[in-house]
Amino acid sequence: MTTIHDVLLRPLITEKSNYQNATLHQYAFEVAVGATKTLVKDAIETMFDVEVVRVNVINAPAKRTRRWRSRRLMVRSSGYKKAIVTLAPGDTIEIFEGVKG
Amino acid sequence: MKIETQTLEDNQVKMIVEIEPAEMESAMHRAARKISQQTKIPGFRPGKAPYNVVLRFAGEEYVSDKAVELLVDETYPKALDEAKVEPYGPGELKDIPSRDPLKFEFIVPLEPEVTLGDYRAIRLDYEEQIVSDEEVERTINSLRERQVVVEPVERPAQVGDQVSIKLSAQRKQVNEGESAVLLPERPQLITVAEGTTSEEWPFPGFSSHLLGLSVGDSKTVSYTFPEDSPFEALRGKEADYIFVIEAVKSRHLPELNDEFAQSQGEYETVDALQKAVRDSLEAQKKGDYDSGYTEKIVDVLLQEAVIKFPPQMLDHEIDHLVDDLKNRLARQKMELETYLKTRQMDDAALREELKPSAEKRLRETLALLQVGKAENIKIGRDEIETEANRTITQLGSYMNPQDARKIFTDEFMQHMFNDITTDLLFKKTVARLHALAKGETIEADESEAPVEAETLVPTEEAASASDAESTTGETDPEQPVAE
Repeated sequence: MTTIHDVLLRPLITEKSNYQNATLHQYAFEVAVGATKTLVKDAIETMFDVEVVRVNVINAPAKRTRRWRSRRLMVRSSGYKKAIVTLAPGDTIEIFEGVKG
Repeated sequence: MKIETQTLEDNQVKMIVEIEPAEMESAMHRAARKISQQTKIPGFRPGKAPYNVVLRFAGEEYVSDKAVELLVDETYPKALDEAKVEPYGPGELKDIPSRDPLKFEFIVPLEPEVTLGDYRAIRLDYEEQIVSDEEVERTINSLRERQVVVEPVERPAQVGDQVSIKLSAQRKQVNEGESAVLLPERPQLITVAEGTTSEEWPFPGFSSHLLGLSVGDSKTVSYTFPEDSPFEALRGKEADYIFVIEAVKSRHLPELNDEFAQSQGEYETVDALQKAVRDSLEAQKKGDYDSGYTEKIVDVLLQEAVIKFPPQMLDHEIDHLVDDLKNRLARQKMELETYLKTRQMDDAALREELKPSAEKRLRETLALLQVGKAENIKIGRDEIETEANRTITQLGSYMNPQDARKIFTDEFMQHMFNDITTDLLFKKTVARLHALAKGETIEADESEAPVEAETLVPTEEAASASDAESTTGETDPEQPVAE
């Protein structure tokens, strides 16, 4: 079973998540495939000691492309589950804030 | 920005520049933006990563290093401006004494400083060079010698004949370790000279012993080398010279007449030839004397002048000399490395060896340029153009048009103009110095409607020929410092 200790896989730091962080006060994580919104909420509240307002969950689909040089070779990137967490105003999560990560 | 300047002895300035924290901060941000543009940070398009992401990704130290680099490049020209330092060449970042607050230590070479003595008071005696009739005659005789006709004759040898002999020599007293044979037997051509001349071989007066001898005659002559003989090992020694006459030939010198004169080139008469010979001898003598005279003047000039220059300038001059050497070696199909190997030297030793002459040359150049400046010697545009045209026609005469087109690039022309301007400037300066040293009074003229070299060759490098830069090559004071 998935517990709150192995729900969160890694923070997603991208241009998009950066934007969400700055304007909407949201933080994006890659989470275990079996995670639920409640689980994510509990995990973040206990681990980072913050108040979570809302959790959105998206299943990012696996993607396949063909490698251009050897056309028969298929490259596959596995899908993952992404959770976008909105925090209460005033709360922050350190890893996103920069240097100390 | 706080600047402290200290003047060092060898015409350099030490600048300590302190950077304010705010400036450092902004440099950090600019550095971060640069880094994010150059490196791939996953999740971000190039240049889009925010500051703190870059900091985390690249490490704070790396970013601040880059920021320092940026700051060095930025502050150097600003600091020069503010401290009113006129650099001669690119400065050097010597040290970063502290990081917080950030401090830079620059070493900046300065323009050379030349203080001339009272060069206008230099007086040296100038001797007019006179060519005597004898000298002219000797030269013409040597011209005649070249056209000599040799004919075998059957009579005793006379003065002026060419005699071939078989010659050998023996020592009279044989010391230990010496061989009795001074000269092994060998054929020899000897021209019987009148009287005794010192140029004779094997000893002065030898040819007089040949007088009156015919083919097949042999003779032994003993000779004691005098104490002042040029052969040191033989001084005071006695030797027997044994020879057999093999042939006597008469030498017919062409007669000195108009025909001979015409055979020597475009001379109509003997008089014309004599005049031409005299002129060329005179010119040669005068040239030799003049260059010696110039050297003397410059020596005096240097003694009185105080010349200060940064070490970089000397390095530059040494570079020139090394290049010169390389070119000269290349003409002999040799490489610098091989040359150095044969002399068992390395690059540094060579530079060390060239140093004194480089220093001398540099000092001379600087002093002469300063004289040129002080005397307000300018080169007119038309002078440069005539000179340039001459060079071009000269080059063009032994080159086909295609090659010529290839070589006459803008850059080449610029170089040529530069060289010509510098050359003319030096020539004029030297001429002025000559005139002054001879005691002719000349006022520094300003009426010559000068065209500064800059207007002709507008690039940075060209600068003006009166600037030390054109003689020492390309320097760009604004160039960022080398770390």
